[in-house]
Amino acid sequence: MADDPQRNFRSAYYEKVGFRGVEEKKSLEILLKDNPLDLEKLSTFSQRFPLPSMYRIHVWKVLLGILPPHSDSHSLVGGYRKEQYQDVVEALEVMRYINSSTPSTHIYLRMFQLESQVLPRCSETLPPNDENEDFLAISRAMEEIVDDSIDCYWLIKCFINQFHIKFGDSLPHLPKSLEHYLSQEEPRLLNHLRSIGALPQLPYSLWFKRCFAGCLPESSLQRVWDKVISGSCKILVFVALEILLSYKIILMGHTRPEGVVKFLCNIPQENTDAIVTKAIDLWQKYCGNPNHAV
Amino acid sequence: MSREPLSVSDLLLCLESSELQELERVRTAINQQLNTDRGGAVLSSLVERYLDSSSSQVLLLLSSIREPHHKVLLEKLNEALTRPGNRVAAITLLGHLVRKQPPWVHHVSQAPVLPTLLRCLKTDGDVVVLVSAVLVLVALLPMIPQAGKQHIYDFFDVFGRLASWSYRNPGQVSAAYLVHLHAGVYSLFHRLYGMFPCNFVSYLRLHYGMKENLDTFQEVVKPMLEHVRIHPELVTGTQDYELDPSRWRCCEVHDIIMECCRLSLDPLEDACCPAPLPHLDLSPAPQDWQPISSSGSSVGKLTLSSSHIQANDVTWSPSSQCGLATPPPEPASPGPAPSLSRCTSISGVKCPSPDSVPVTTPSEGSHQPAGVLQVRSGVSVKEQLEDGRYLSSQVKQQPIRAQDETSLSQVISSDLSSPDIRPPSSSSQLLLRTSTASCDDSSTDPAPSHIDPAPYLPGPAPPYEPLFELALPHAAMLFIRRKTQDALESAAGQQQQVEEERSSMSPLKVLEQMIVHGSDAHERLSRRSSAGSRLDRSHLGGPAPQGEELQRSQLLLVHSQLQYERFKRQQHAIRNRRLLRRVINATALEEQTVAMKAQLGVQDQEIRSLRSSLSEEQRRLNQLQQDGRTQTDRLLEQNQQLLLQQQRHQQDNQQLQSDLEDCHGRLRELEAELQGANRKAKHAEQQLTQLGLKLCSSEQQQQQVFLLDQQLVLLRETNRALSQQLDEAAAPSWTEEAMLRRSAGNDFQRLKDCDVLQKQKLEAASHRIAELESQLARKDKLILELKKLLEETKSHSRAELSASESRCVALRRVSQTLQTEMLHLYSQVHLDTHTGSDTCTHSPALDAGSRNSPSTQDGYKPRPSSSSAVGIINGAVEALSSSSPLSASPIDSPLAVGSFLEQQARRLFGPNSQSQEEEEEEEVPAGSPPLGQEVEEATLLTGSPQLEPPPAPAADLELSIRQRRDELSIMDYNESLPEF
Repeated sequence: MADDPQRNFRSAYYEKVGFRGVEEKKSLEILLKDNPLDLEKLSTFSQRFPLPSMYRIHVWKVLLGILPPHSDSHSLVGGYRKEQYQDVVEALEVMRYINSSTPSTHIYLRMFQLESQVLPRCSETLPPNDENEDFLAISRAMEEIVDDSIDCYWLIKCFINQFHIKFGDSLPHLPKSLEHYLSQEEPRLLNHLRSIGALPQLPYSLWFKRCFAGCLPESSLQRVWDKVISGSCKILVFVALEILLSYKIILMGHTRPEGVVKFLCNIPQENTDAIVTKAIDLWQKYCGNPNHAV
Repeated sequence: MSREPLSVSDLLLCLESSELQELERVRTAINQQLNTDRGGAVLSSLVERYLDSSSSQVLLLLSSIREPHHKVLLEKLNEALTRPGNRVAAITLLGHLVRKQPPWVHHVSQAPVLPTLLRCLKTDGDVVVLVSAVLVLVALLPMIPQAGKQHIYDFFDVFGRLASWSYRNPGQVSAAYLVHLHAGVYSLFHRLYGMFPCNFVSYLRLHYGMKENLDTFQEVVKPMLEHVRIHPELVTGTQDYELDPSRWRCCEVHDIIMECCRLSLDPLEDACCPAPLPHLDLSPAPQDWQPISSSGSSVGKLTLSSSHIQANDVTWSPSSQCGLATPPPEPASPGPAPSLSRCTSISGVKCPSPDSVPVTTPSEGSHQPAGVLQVRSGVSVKEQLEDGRYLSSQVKQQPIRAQDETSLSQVISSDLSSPDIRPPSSSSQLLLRTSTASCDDSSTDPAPSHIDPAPYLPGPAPPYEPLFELALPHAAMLFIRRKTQDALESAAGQQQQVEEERSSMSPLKVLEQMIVHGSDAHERLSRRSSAGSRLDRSHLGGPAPQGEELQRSQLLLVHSQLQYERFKRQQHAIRNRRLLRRVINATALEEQTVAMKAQLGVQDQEIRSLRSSLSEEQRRLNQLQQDGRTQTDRLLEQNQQLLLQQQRHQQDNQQLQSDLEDCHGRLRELEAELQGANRKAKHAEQQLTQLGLKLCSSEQQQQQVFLLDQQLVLLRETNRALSQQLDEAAAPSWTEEAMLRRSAGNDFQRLKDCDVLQKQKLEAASHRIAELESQLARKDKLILELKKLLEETKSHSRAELSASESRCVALRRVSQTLQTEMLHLYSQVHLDTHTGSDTCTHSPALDAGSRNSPSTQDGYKPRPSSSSAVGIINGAVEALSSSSPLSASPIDSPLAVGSFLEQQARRLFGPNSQSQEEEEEEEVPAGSPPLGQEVEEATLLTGSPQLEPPPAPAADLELSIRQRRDELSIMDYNESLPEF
């Protein structure tokens, strides 16, 4: 599996001299031509290289299991997915959970709840709890990325399911891990955060539960999610670390934890691309071969 | 500012104070104010002050004006020039400033003063103004040569106007003024001719080519032309080149003046002509003085006196004439000697050249008593001696102050010594200047009788009349001819001829003579007046009849002329200083040259000595070379001998070597022979030992042969015995053996064939095996492929299946939810009916459930709830809104109802529940055939809901509700099963 991206020996050098994504598109196209798609190869590719945006949704769908590896059955399965979506939507409509004016994210939320059997009674609609808020944030971001509502719903659903199944155990350890890497990269900032007591109050749920949905703009966010979908939740730690490093000076200026949290929840949206790029570099540096990084 | 003019005027008043310290203080104060002055108020007040009072102190201050203030000053002057009342004073001031040559003088060419001045010259009718202005212009011209570019024709127009004015005299002014004017025009003529010859000559040609100007030309301009040489620029230059400002760039003021003077033939104009032009210098002298001498009777003495006077005249200046103590004028050219000789020749010939014969015959001079000259003849020897002394002094280039002093003393002495003598004449004055003796003698002069015609005829200025005639020579000539016809009859005819031919007299000379006359007249007048006779004054031609006014203006004229002359003298002094510097430099260079020459001699000597030593060295070198050559020869000879010896030795050596080689060869041969002999000896020895061995072996063979013979005999015997035995037994066993052998051979053959057959069979079998094996492998592969395909298909279908499964699950979830919802709705409906029928029984539950609306349970409850149920069954949206907003009241109730329903269901359908547990949700409607009525009702309920609402009657309602409740409870039971 590691041999295939090296099929062109120049690809490694392209990246070295700064031509990112020269060979990737071509090799991805070759990967996508295989009839039973090799999921491992695809996830390795997605870990290693940035995905071209035109194939992103397709790759995500395959990786998340929305589409089967066999390309023959794509249309059939796609039809199933569509029908399922429509059935659920219709049911919800019949049950008056949703109507034509309901925002799509709430439709998705209701659908998700229905499918996971946690749909509250129509009469006992509670104010959305944290979990629902996370779902809504992710679905808002996904809605920006994906145009088709059926795809969007399926992506949200499978993304959240996969995230919880795969990384549900490692999520609580991520703040510790962030602390560790921060101590390696910038101990002064860590000390500062620790001294003002902001360390436990950092927006971990925004970062690790919502996977930065609502924190980064979608263009940057989808690069992070590439890595998450292809099987690494460590990248979240490094994005958070890079955010801290990038705004080090501002953060050092704050002396109260509320200010730090407030700033981190609303970081400026200008150079997030650079932050993500640096974060991916850092991630590859610390986790070495991204194949084995989880 | 308001205070300053006052203080300035005060200061100006103080300026006239006589106390020196006070004066100094005031002057510094004014200077300070001038320096701080911005608007030019102080300056203008100063100018005004000068224009009012002509104060010399103010003049001093004004002439020290610095650069930024000159504009105001020039403007102020321009303003003053435009006012006729101040014009004279302004021109005088301008003259003073210009002669002072301040650093900003070149700005005058751009200032409006210049055009205004020129306009004055062109339009004004006052002689005083004209004369002083023209003198200012003449002094100014060399300072602003570049102004010629714009104003050249203005200058020429001025010249033309003044020339014609002085000739035609439209203002009818007195002749004395005209003399001044004439002198001014003369100076202007020289200046213009010197600076712009081509333009000027073309202008003259143009202007005087016109008929109406011809008389002016004849009378005024032509005599002037006689006093100049031809300008070299007329040959080489052009009109445009003359006006080019770059032409003057490296010229200083005095250079330009010198240039102008150089072209003049008038000794008064160019008092300082350089040495190369002695003849031109001196030639005017006879011109000037010939008439005087010719007017005299004795010609021989006249020549003497003329030459004498000329020699003196070279050093003459108005200042010396007027008795001013000034630095000495330029020393006369060092060529009096030729002039003297020339003069003597003139005296011999009487008329040297038509040009040089002067025309001017002063009326008085013409009647100048010969006696004077005759008397002077007595002194002539002494004068000549004096001349000689002067000449020597001039050659030595000594300053001629002594001479000036003498002339001054002469003037003084004449003033003292000739108080009561008849009117002075120019010649007498000149004679006075040259010799004191003549003054003394003049007392005996019988001239008075001759003077009559000129001085007494015109009333206003009798003494100047003849001078005017002099200034206008043509008229003068006529006049003289008429006047002196009788007087000259006695004179020689040749003298008449001389008078005819004489040229014009220099206007300067005329002016000078006039001044001298004036001073003489004044002196005598003063004498007379002191004597007391007032009437005589008028007869003596004093200025009294004209009044103080005339006198003053004349004084002004004389003053301006004097200023102009002084300016010229200053320029000459500057030039002299330059020349002196050059002379000093030249002498220094000469001394340097001499020193260099001495050095050269010394070095020559050195070179000579060096040369001699060189030759000595060369000789020694030659000797050494010869020695060396002889030694070399000897050595060469020796060398040859040695070479011969060496050759001989070499030959010997070669011979010996060949001998040696021969010996070696022989030795080698001998050695070879020795070796051959040795070999032979060894060979022989070997043969000997071999022979010994052979002998031994032959002896052994003989013994063996003997033994073998014995064996042979023995064997032969046995052989014979055995062969006898054999012949006896051999024949019967032969056939059996052959048959056996044949059968064995046959068997062998048969077995061999069988073997071949077996082998072939084996091969075929093995072949078959291989074939089968390959088939097997192919099959295996196929099976593998099929397996893979199967696997793929499996995964494929599994994926699809999982998708459809997920869909199924989703559908199940949907239907579950739908059912839940439905149940919920039913429960609501049931609740409604329940509460309607037996509110009492279930009131606690209701109370627990609907805590939110406790007050109106009894009366209100049924209707709204039923209506809401109906609304929901109808599927209409409005029901939701109409019944209760978001069905707020039954929010809490379903749970309670649910629990209640569950209890009921458990109670009623306990045994049934287990059997129906396995049933699918889809089967639920179909899986309850015994409840057909309820199903119908249910379908009725869902399918045709319109029919439902009407059952308002209580009995029907109760029945139907009960049925429904039963049904519902079954449904509820089924539904609630998964929730367990």
